[in-house]
Amino acid sequence: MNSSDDAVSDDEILYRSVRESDILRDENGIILRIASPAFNDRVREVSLDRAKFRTSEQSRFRASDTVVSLRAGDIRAITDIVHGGQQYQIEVRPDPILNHPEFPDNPAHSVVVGNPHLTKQAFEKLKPILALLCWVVLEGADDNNDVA
Amino acid sequence: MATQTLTRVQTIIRHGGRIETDVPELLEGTRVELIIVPASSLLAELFAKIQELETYPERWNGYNVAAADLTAIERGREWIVRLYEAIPAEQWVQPHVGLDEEGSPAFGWYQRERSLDVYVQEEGAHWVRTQGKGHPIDDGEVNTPEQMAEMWQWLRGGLDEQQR
Repeated sequence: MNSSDDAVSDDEILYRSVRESDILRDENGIILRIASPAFNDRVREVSLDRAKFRTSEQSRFRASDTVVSLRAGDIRAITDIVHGGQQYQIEVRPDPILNHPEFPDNPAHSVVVGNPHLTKQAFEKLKPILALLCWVVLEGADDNNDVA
Repeated sequence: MATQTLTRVQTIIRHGGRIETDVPELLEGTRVELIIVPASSLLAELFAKIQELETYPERWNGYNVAAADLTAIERGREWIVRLYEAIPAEQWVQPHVGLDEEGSPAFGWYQRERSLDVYVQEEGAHWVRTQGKGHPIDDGEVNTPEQMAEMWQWLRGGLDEQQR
């Protein structure tokens, strides 16, 4: 049995739950793309669940969310995040959540981080790339777009 | 029936326009409710989406994101109206409307591998654009009508490519 704080290997699949408001669909309701704000994070470290420890169903916050996946190696291969002359290396590292005072346990939790730590402007460049790299694995169960 | 004197009332609207209307003379303390409907149905649709954002609480998407910043949203509303006014009506494309992680509005236009995200912040608005893997990701300011026209030209270039 692997431990959830093992390094994330390049071939690992990672999940992210996306609200319906950040999904772009055509007139027939077919998903076209994911919008960049789907990868928002206040500390500029994008949370993803490792598929080896959680199913896509377990990774979504609500039934109406769509779950997208990304491959760790694809994320590490992002080399074009440059801002103010600084080039950023993008990494995926395990970040299991255990006994946190605020968040429920999530041994599958990992984060996409920049080296050095991403500035706001650099993070804004990363988000559309993640949106391009991801694909849908589990579509939202209904069109409920209630955020509260 | 009492005679009513018509008074010309001028109201400056937050979104750059102004209206003038004749209303009966107002008694002190009379509450006047003005319902302002954007001239364009596209703008009305956008305003409705932006209004929805105002209700987003902290961690609204389940992750570490701030609640909607109402001041920033108002800035976004003003910016999108200025963009709308700077672009020929027949060229207009509705954006995706969302929030960034700090609760400020983010407008996005997406065409296959091309994407254009605009973030409206206190210090001004700026864009981030991508053309897919292997292409540089660049950014720039978009506050003046000239900058808006230039940004739109890039976006239109992608649409024309898509239609070919």
